[in-house]
Amino acid sequence: MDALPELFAAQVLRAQFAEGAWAWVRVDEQGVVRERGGDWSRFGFESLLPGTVAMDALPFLVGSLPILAPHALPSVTFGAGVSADVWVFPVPDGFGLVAHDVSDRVRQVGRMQQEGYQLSLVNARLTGQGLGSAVRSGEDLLSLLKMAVFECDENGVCSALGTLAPWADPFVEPALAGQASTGRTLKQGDGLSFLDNFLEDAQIFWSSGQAGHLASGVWCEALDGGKEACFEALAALDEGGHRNLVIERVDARYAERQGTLQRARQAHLDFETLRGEVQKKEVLLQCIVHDLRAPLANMMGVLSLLKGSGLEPDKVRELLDLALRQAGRQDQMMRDLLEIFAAEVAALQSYDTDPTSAPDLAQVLRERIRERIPAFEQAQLRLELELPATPARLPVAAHADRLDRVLGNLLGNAAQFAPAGTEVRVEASLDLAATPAQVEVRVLDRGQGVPLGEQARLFDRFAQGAGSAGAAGLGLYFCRNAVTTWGGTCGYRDRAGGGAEFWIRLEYLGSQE
Amino acid sequence: MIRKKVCLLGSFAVGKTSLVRRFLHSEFSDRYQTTVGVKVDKKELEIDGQAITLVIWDLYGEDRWQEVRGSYLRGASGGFLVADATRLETLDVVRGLAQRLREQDPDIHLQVVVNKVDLRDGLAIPLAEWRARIDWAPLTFTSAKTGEGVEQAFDALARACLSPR
Ligand SMILES: Nc1nc2c(ncn2[C@@H]2O[C@H](COP(=O)(O)OP(=O)(O)OP(=O)(O)O)[C@@H](O)[C@H]2O)c(=O)[nH]1
Ligand SMILES: [Mg+2]
Repeated sequence: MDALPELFAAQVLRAQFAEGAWAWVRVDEQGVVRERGGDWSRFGFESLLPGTVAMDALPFLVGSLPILAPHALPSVTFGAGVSADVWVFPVPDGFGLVAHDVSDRVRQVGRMQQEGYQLSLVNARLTGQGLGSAVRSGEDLLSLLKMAVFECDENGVCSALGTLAPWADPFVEPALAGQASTGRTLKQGDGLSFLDNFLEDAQIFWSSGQAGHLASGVWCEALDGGKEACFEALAALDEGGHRNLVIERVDARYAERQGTLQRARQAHLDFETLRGEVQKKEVLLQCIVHDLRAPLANMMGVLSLLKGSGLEPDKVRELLDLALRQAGRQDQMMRDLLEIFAAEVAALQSYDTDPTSAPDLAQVLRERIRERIPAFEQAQLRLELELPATPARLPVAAHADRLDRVLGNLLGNAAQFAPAGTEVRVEASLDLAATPAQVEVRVLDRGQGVPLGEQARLFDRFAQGAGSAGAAGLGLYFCRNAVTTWGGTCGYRDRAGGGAEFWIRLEYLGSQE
Repeated sequence: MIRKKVCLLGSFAVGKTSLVRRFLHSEFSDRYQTTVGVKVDKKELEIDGQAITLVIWDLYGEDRWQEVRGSYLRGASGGFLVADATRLETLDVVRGLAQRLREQDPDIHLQVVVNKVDLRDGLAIPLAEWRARIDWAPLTFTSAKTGEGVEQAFDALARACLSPR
């Protein structure tokens, strides 16, 4: 099979096709095949060659054109008996189509259903080969087999052969006083019940003299006791030309078939839901990009005006104001967006409180710091770590990956604000007096520190220290969010002797000795 | 006693069985138990003082794994076609089934329901849009979960079945 072009590969991912055989084709606006690939012979379309008209080979396309957005077509069975999921999407000057062979899946379900029918087939063979006569000669296997056997006449009157199990009662006329169950007749109704309906088909089948049998398919109904039971009926002519009718209880087989079908359908539903979600997200993303572009376009307009020389200072100020307003607008939009996403992210926030699997802060710190030393050295900073002598492990209530990011953010901050030639210290200490016991981590630098007026908002979203880079704002916001989710706290204080001190406190999960 | 057969039809998991359950027993379950084969139930109603027994055939959902047999539709006075408000593709199935029912019996009474309207946030298209697209048969919005519209829908179909053709 040749390689899938990148564009198509992306679409296959989008359609969430699993592994399996696929074939693709690119069609231009006139409906002519321009390019193709994959295993079209599997789908019976060796002839779908570049230059041919796609619709001739793929008639199911006719109602679906033009293709304006990527979507799945209803499943298609190709001439070669291959069942396929089909995904179409627009490409410049035409559209692309990917067919994905799902025959295996379809066959598998078919086979499971078939297994159920196999039993019926055995029954039918019995029916054809003298089941009726066996019963007539007085054998009484049938109620054991959960079958009721009848012989019908040309007027559709069916009489029981052999003993009837009690479950068959609702289908037959009440026994006359002293009457044995043999000979009891099937109820004849107005044709609206399932069995009545089937008997009409059975009459036609018997009259046709056909070999084999006719199966009714499974049906369930509430019997007189209110309990639901499932049945299947079979009609066959036996060798003596008798019109035999078998009614069978199929509860166990029903459950099995039900389970298989259930899984297939549930999977299909899950798949649809996921695909819907993905599409919704895509639309949302498009809207977002579109909205964010508008102020940017305005700003660009202003900037290009400013670039032109000879503007009055008043005019310049006016233009700058305009640009600022647009920037502010965009900023506000992004804040709103982050807020929305934050709500979704919150749903993802979980953490570990099992001391054996919770992250070991001592180890995490050692690792993070070892990784960072080269970068700090480049910036002419010394990086030092001080851990308590005991205990060796400091298991804390946190989510391992996010704890990494929290520490990474704090260290990154320090690296950014510490003047060259100074030292950044990381200290951890255990506070057993607190309830619950806590571990405190401090990251200390000798930078300018944070002015008093800004300290309160430091961990808020988009808070920015004086003259600082904007990235810090979100980083600290992330830290506070994560730490508070784990039941911890974080904060800032001026470092004794000058500089900044950021701290976090997390619940200690280790032993208290 | 007048008896009328009505068939519930529609794509899988649209809520056919749930609608019958709500109508017959005022119950609902969130668990999905797909129907294999046909479930036949009966319900006695009174329409304008006239007693009528509805023989309700809840047919399995039609999809690539199972297709509804034509002979099951024989003798039906009404077709109860169910779409799922959260899945637009279920409307195509309903359209196809309506066509088949009418081919088999041009006089059959159809009642379309768009079910699961309690899932307001999950609607595939707004209800007004559903209404606009289903202008070819009586339409009721239902929720087997809350019971909204269920009785009215069955009632409307039973009433139609009683009316002279
Ligand atoms: N929220 C909501 N869920 C519903 C409603 N009706 C049905 N459901 C759910 O949808 C799923 C399918 O319902 P069923 O009644 O089994 O659907 P069906 O059409 O009989 O399905 P098949 O027998 O597979 O054809 C179940 O999980 C139900 O709980 C409804 O009105 N509102
Ligand atoms: Mg069902």
